[in-house]
Amino acid sequence: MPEPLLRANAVTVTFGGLIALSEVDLEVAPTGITGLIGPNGAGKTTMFNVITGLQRPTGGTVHYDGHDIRRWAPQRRARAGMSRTFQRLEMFVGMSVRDNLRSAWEASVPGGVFGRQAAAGRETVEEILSRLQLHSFADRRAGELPTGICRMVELGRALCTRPRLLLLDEPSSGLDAGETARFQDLLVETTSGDGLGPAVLLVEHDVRLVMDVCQQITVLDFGRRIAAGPPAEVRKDPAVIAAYLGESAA
Amino acid sequence: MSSLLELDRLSVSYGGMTALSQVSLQVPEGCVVALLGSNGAGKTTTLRTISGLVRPAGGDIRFRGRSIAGLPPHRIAALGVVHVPEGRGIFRSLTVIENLQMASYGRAAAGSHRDIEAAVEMFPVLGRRLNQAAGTLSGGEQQMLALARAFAAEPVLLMLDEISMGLAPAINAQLFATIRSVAERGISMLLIEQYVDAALALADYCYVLEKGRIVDVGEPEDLRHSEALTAAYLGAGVT
Amino acid sequence: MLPFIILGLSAGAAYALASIGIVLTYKTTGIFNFAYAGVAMFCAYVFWQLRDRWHLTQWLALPLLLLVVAPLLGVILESLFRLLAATTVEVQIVVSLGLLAFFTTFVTIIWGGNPRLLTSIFPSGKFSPAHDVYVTGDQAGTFLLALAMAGGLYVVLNRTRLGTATRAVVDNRDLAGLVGANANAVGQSAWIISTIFAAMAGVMLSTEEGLVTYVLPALVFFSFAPAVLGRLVNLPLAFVGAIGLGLLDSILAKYNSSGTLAKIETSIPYLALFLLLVAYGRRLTEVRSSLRATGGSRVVVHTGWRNLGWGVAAIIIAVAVVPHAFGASTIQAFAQAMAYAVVALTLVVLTGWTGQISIAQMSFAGIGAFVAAHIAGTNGGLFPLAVLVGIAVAVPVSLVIGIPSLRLSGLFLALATMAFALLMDKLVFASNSITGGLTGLNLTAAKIGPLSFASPTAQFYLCLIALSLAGLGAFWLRQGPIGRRLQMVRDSPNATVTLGASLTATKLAVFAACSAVAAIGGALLAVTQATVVPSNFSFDTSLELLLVVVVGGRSLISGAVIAGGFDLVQLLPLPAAVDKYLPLGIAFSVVAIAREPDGLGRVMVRQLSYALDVLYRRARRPASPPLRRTAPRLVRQKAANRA
Repeated sequence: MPEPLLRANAVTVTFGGLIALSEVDLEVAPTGITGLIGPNGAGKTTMFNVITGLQRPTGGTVHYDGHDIRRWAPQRRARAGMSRTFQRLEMFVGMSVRDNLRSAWEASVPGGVFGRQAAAGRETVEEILSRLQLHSFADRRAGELPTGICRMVELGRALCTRPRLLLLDEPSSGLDAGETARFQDLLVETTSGDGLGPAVLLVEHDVRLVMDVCQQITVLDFGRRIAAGPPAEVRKDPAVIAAYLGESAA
Repeated sequence: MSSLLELDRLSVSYGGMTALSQVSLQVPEGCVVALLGSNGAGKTTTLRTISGLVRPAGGDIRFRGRSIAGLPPHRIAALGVVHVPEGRGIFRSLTVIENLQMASYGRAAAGSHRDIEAAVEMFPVLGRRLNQAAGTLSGGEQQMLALARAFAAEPVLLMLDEISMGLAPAINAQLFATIRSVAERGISMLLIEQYVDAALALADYCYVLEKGRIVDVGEPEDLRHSEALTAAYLGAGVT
Repeated sequence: MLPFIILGLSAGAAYALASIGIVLTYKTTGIFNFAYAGVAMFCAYVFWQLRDRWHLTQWLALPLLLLVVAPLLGVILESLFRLLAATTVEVQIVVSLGLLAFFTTFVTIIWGGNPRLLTSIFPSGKFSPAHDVYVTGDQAGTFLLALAMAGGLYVVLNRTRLGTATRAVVDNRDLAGLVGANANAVGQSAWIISTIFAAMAGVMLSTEEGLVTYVLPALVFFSFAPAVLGRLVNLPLAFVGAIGLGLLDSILAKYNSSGTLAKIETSIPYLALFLLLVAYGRRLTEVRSSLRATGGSRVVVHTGWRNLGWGVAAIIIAVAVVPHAFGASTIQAFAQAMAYAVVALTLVVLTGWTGQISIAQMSFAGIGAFVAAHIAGTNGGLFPLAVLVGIAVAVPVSLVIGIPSLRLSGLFLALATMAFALLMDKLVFASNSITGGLTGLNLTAAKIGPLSFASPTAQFYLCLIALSLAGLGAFWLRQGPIGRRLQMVRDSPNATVTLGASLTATKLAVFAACSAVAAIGGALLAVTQATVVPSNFSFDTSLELLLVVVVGGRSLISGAVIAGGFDLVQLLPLPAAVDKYLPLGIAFSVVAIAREPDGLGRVMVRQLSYALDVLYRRARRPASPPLRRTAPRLVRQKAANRA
C-alpha cells in the first residue's frame, strides 16, 4: 500500500466528561474511496471536524501529505487541497448555484478574490456544472432548491477547489433512492476514471452505498476504532455486526 | 388494548425536506415500543415531534385520546410525557441534586423527596455526587442522571432516545437492566436504540423506519431475522 | 482617600445594577440589550414625573415604578425580542439600537431636553463613621440597596425553583422544555427583573448627575465594560467589576485636581471595554449561538443592469436639475447630503452585505474631516493630500479595532465600535487643540489642482462625482468575486473557511476599506460644511446614520442614497410637529422593519402589492379562504424571484 495521503494517529476528543473520540487511527489512501462508518454518536462527524480543523483534538496527531497539520487553520488545510461537504447543509443561500461554485473556486486560488485567472475559473465551474448535471439549475438561487440538488451543489463546490482529499459527510441523507443511486454513480465516476480524481473519505449512514463504493472502510463505535479493512472483511467482522445489531447476532 | 399514545399519519418537514411522512404508530398502555432504523431514518424526529420540540406539518398526535400536536414542550411534559433526548440529557452546569429537582418542574405531583430518593437508589453512584456539577460526571454517570431524573418525574410515557450512545458495553448493560426493571413496573415506553439486540430484548412491539416511513412492524421475535431490518442497518447480503 | 472610596462604592453600586441587568437578559435569552441605557433613562424620568411633577409620595411613586412600570416594560421588551429569537445577531442588534434611539427621542419629546434635578430617594443628612469622614444618606442607601438587590437576585437564582429553572434554561433550552419548564416564562421573568434593575440604576445615576438626556445614557454605557468582564454571563464578576470601576473612577478623580486627567477618567469604561475584548479574545463566545440562524438570511445579490440604469438616471437628473433649480444654500445642502451618502454606503457594505454592525462610521468620517481641516484649512491646495492622510490615519485605527473584535461574533464588533466612538467623543473630539472646541475648525477653500470648491455648485459636483464613483464601485464589486466573498461570509462561515477563504481577513479588509471610504466622506463633509464641528461626528450621529440606512435599505446602494437624503428633510417646509416626531418615527421604523434588509420603501411596496393582490383576488373569488398568514411570504418570494 502506498504512503497514505492522510494519517490520523490516536486522535482523542473530549467534551467535558464525554469522550467523543478515543485514540482513533485513520488512514486515507491517495486514491480511491475510504469509508468511515459507525452507529449514531460513534464520533464520525467529530473526526471530520478534527481533520478539517473545525475541532481541535485533545490529543493525537494528524498528518496530511507528510505535514503535521494540527496547528493549521481550516482555510490553510483547504488551500492544501482538503475540501468537504456538510451533513447539515451549508449553502451560500443568497447566491445562484453557479456563483456558489465560482466563489468556491475563487476561495481556493491565491488572488482569486481579486479576479486572477478568472477565465480558467469559469471553465472549471462550467465543466463541473455539466459533469454534475447542474446546468439547468445554474442560475437558480441556492436557497430555494430541494435538498437533493443542494447535496450536488455542495459536492460541486468542493470539486471546484480541485481537491486532493474530498471529505463527504453523509452526502445521501435527505436523498431518495433514485437520487442516491445517481449520486453513487457520480461519486465513482468522479474519483476513479483517469486516476487523477481526489481521494475521498466518505461518512455515510447508508451502509449499502458504503459497501458498494469504498475500497477501505474504518468502523467507529463509541469513539473507538473497532475495525478497518476492505468491505468484504469488515462486513463479516463480528465486532462490526455486534456494534450494529447487538451481541447475539454475532 | 387501549392506546396511550397514537400517531396518526404524522408528517414533518424541515425547510422543504421531508423528515417524516405519514407515520402512524401506537403505544398501548403498559407496553414498551421500540423504533428501529438507520441514522437519518426519522426516529429522533418522531420523538421530538411527540414532545413538542418540532411542529408537525400534518397528521395528529393523541395522548390518552387527546390531541397534543402543536402544544409547547412544557405543556406536553406536564401531561407526564417524559423525554430523555439523545446526547446530552442533563443540565451540565446544574448540580446533580438540582438536575433531579428539575424533574418536578412541570409536574407538581412528581419529583417529591421520595421520588428523588427512589431514583437515586437505582443509581447509588449518583447519591455520592449530589452536590457536584453534572457536567463533571463521566459519560455513563451523566446518562444515569438523565434516567434518574426521568424516573423521578413519574412518567406516564417514557421516551428514551439512544441512551447507550457513546457508552461502553458494561455501562449499557447496567442501564438496560434498570430500564427493564422500570418497564416491569408497567410504565409505558417508546424507545430508540442503536443496539438492535438490546431494543428487541426490551420491546413488546417494534416499528422499523426507513427514510421517514414505517417499513415494517411486528413483535421482536418476528423481526429478529427480518430481512428489512438487517438491510436497514448493514446493507443487503450480510448474512 | 476614604471619602473617594465611599464615593466610588456608591457610584459603582449603580453601575453594578445596570451590569447585572444586561448580563441577566443576555444569558437567559441571548439578547444583548443596547437599549438598556434608554430604558434606564425612561424609567428615571417616569419616576421624576410621578414623584416630583405629580407629587405622589415617594412610597407610592417608587413601588409604582418598580412593580408596575418597569415590569410592564420588561414584558413588552421580552415579547418583542422573542419574535426575533431565530433571526441573526445583526437583526437583534439593529432592533436594540433602534429601541435605544426610540427611548432617548421619546424622553426628549415628552420631557424636553432641559436638565432636571432629581433629589435622592434616600434620607438626606450624613453620618461620620470615622474622623473627618462623612457618608451621606444617598451614598449609604445607594450602596446598600444595590447590594441588597444583587444579593436578592443571587438568592433567587440559587435557592428557588424559578432560579433553578432559569439556570436550566440557560444551560439547555430544549431540555428545559422537555422537563416542563416554560422557557418563555423564564425569559419573561429575566426581562422583568432586568428592567427593574434598569429603573433603579437610572434613578440612582440621575440622583448623582441630574436628569440629562445626553449624560444619562453614557453613564449606563459605563456598565457595558463590567458586563464584558463577566464575559456577558457571569453575574458576580459583573457586579465586582462595576464596583471596581466606580472605585477606579473616583480614585482617579482624587489625583485629578489639575484636570489634565479628566478626559482619561471619563473614558476609562470604554478603554476597559476595549481592552477586555483584546484580553479575552476567543474566550468570548456567544451564548445560544447554536440557536441563531447562521444561514437563511434573505439578503440577495441584486444584480442586473436595470438597477444600474436607475442609478445613472438619478445622476443625470441630479446634474440636470439641482444646480439650476435651487439657490446656493439648497445646492450646498444637496452636496452635504451626498457626502453623508458616501459614509452611509460604507454601512451598506458592512451591515447589509457582510452582516457586521459598526456604530462608529461617523467617527471615521470625523477623522477624515478634522485631518482635512488641519492640513487644508489655510492652504486649500493641500486638500488631496489631506484626504490621503485621513485615510492613512483611519485605516490603522480600524485595524486596531477590527483585529481583536472581528475574530469574534458580530456582537463584539458592535461593542468595540461603540467603545471607539465614545472614546473619540471623550478623548479626541473633546480636545480643543485637535478640534478647535465648540466653534470647530474652518475649511473654506478646498482645491484639487486648479479646481476650487469654494462655491456650493462646485461642492455639489465634487460630492456627486464622489458618490457616483463610490456607488458604481460598490455596484461593480458586488457583481464580482469580492461581492461573492462577502456573501459567502454572510451565508455560511463554516463553508467559507473549509473552502479556503479566511473569515477574519475578509471581514477585516472590508472594515478597513469602509473606514477609508468613511474618512473620504468625512473630508467631503468638511468641504460642504466649511466649519468642522465635533458634534457632527459624535457617537449619536453614527447611531443616527446607521438607523436611517436601515430605514433606507441596508442591502441596497440606493438605501445609502436615501439615508443621505434624510439630511435634506430640514429644507422642506414641514410643520414643527413633523420635525419633532421624525426621529421617533425613524427609530420606530427601524424596530419594525429590522428583519427587512431592503428597507422601508421596499416593505411598503411589497405590502401595497400584497394588499392589491388580496383585493383583486377577493373581487374575483369572494369565497376564497383567508391567506393572511401565508400569502405575504409567497408574495415576498415572488418579489425576490423577480429581483
